[in-house]
Amino acid sequence: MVQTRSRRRLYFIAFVLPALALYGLFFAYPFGRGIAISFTNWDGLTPRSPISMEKAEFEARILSRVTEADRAFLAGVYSYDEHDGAYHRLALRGATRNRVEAILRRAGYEPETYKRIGLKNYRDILSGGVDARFYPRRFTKKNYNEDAELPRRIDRREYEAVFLAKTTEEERSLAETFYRRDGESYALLPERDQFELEDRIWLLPEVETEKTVDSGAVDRFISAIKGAGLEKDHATAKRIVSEFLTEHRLSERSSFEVKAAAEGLFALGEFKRILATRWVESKLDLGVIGFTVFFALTTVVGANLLAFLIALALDTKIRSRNVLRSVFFLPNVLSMVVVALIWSIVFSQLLPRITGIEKWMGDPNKAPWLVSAVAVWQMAGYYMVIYLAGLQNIPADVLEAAMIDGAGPWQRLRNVTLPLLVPAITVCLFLSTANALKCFDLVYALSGPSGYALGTVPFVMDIFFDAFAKKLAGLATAKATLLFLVILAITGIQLVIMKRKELDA
Amino acid sequence: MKRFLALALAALSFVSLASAQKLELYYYKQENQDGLKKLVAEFMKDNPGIEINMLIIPNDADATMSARAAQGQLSDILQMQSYSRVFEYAQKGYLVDLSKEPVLGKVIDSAKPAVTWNGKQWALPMDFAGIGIIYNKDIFAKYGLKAPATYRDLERICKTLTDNGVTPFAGLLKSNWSMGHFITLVQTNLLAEKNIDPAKFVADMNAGKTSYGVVDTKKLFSILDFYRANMAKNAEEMDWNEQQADFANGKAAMMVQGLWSYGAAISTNPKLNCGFVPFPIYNDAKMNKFYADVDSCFGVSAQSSPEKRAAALKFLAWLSTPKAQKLWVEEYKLTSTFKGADVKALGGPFVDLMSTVGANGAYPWAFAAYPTAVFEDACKNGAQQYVFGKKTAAAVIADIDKQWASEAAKTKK
Repeated sequence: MVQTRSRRRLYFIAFVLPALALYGLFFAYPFGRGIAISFTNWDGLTPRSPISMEKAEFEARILSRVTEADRAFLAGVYSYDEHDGAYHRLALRGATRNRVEAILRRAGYEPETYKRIGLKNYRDILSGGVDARFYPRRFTKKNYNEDAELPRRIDRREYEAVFLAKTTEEERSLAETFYRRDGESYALLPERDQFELEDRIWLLPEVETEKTVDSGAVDRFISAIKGAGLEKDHATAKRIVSEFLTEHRLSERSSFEVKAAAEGLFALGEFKRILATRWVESKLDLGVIGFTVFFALTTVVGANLLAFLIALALDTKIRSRNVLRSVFFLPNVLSMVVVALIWSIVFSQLLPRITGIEKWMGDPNKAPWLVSAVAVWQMAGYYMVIYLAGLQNIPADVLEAAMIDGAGPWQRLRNVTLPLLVPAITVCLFLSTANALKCFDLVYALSGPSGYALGTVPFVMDIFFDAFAKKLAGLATAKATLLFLVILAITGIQLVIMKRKELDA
Repeated sequence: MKRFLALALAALSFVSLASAQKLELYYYKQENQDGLKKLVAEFMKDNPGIEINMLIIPNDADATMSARAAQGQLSDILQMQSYSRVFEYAQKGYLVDLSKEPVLGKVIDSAKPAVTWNGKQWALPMDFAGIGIIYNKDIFAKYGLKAPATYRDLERICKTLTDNGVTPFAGLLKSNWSMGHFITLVQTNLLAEKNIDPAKFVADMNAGKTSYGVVDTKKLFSILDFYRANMAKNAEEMDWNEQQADFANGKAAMMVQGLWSYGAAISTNPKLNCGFVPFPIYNDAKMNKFYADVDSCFGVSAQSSPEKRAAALKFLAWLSTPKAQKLWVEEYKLTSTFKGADVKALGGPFVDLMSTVGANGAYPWAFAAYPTAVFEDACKNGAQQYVFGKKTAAAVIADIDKQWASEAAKTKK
């Protein structure tokens, strides 16, 4: 349809201009400001113009360095209070705020925690200068701390596969004098129980009833013996015992008890050290970057595959297909927080009862997979709708023609359906990749409070934590800018590749 | 005529509304919101010229408050946590200096350090809170146990409970804050045997002169291990709600918590019979004290108009009236930092707290004086990662030292 010039202008003014204005106001401007903040060391709290400042400092750092007109303007904003000898201002908004900040910038005033620091934030992120947990790394998981009591029970598989497998012959025979197999776990032998050994001293009449030995002395004695035990230092242990016995007058029976208990406690040390050094695992901590990539890969592949398969199934003429479509789409209607709540209950109450495995979300080995699985479950319904629409757009006659030509179901899928479905695949891949990379709510609601301990912190959550808990607003904004660039690049490349496929088809 | 009257009435009410001073009160304590609402309503009844709107952002009060501060949209009255938060906002100039306000004269002196920065008071300390062991007296009685006075007592109690199939501690490992409280509780307690004053320790950390591991770290981490070993196996999946539930329904006999959790447990199970004792880390009973300090305080925004500031100060002054104090304790169910406050109405554990602290003194909440980021990140996440096996004891200490140094460098001029 040919339109007159004036009409086109009218459309431009009535629709495009307001949209552009809103775009500028609500996207471009904050975005620009964000990028500006990413070049500073802002802590998220310091105002760029001081709320109050001592008179002398205010005059030297600000008033003496601005023009006459600016000074007059500042006088309208800052008022001098002679009670405390300082200049104060009230809250600033909009244009006034911008003008005050511009004046201060020209005067060369910068707060200590709102300084321009150039590309430092970006350099830190890219060169490994921020927290170690941001990057993937190997770490050693220690399952036992030698200063603690020996655990009374250790899971059988854990004990055999992680601990015993790393021990020498000699250590293993020592281990046999400490732990015995008892069903699905290994139990500490009663005579090796530290609590009981210590109680032989604590319950001596001299300590418990007569109180001739004070609790501080017992405390020091026990911890000294334990220390000597860890060092396998027989001589020191002997000395400690004989000193204790000469210092405190104990009955013969009590002296015997002390010696026996000390011997028992001493003997724990050697094995404690073995358990502490051998019961370790080398593990991979995905870190924030690693988990984000893992989450993106698993959910994009998982959700698209699942969505495609469901769409294929529901594109047939099975009877309940309309109901099923709604059923599969339903998870997408729920709020992420509700989804997280439902699955938390499943993981903490239902699954342990069904499988007998106690820990699900609390286990760092399972947590990343569970988070991804829930995300796939939640997202698949939405992409299913897109695939379904794509499938229904494929003309039936093309498929029929292929059938008449003798193409089997697999050939039809491979050579007819898939090529014609490329536009839907493009859209789904694009949306799922972008969504996965900037995912926040679901992971936050599912495992947010223990994210760093489980290794399930996506990029955006890390940004949030940096900005508000660690008060590193500048660094957080730099991370956000980088994430934006990464999403832009990945989805851009994806679109280019897929568009090419579309043309081929 | 009728219409005229209605119009006049409307106009009048409009005028009276317009002349009322509208304030906004920002608060973070989300456990007992109705109590504070009743208090504020009572204040508005007494002061018809002032209207207070209440604002709460659950779960992330601090993030929102700092975002609002940065926008110049801070509320007029601010409920804040003591120490660091007050210092931070005072340092940036967001708070009104309250040193010369008469109401501060009514506060007990030991509460003032919590709001004192640069020699001046920047907020009104309000309630005293303690972290310790809340225990179920009925379960203890059933197994013939007495409240622990020493670490050995506690070990024995845990052994007896475990042997009888009762979980000693209701766990809370899913969120990091509880372990954050716990590691600082033990660390601050341990400073005592080295004769280090907690305030001096914090000052020395700020000056880079000492390490978080200045205490007996072997003991520190073995107590963390002991605490973890006496929780349910799936404590990593337990958050505050699960902890409350396990304690309230008697599955677990104790919980290490502040008294804010007692209120929640007692409302789940009103028949609960609780006591409150310090978490004993020493075998010398005299050394075991509550970890207690000023919890919340009220500040006034320096960016509000002078009229609003005056109205806000009026509210703070009103809080010290006998009527308001009574409401504070009975409705808001918090202890009070005003001189001669009567907290009997709060019930057993609160009386335990106030009387024990009165008799033995307390260890201050050193964590509240740490740089905020150190507590939020290195302490809370560090302790949580330690119990999850992700970080070694040495790494926890090293990371706290490192982050503390970089935070201290930021505030130094």
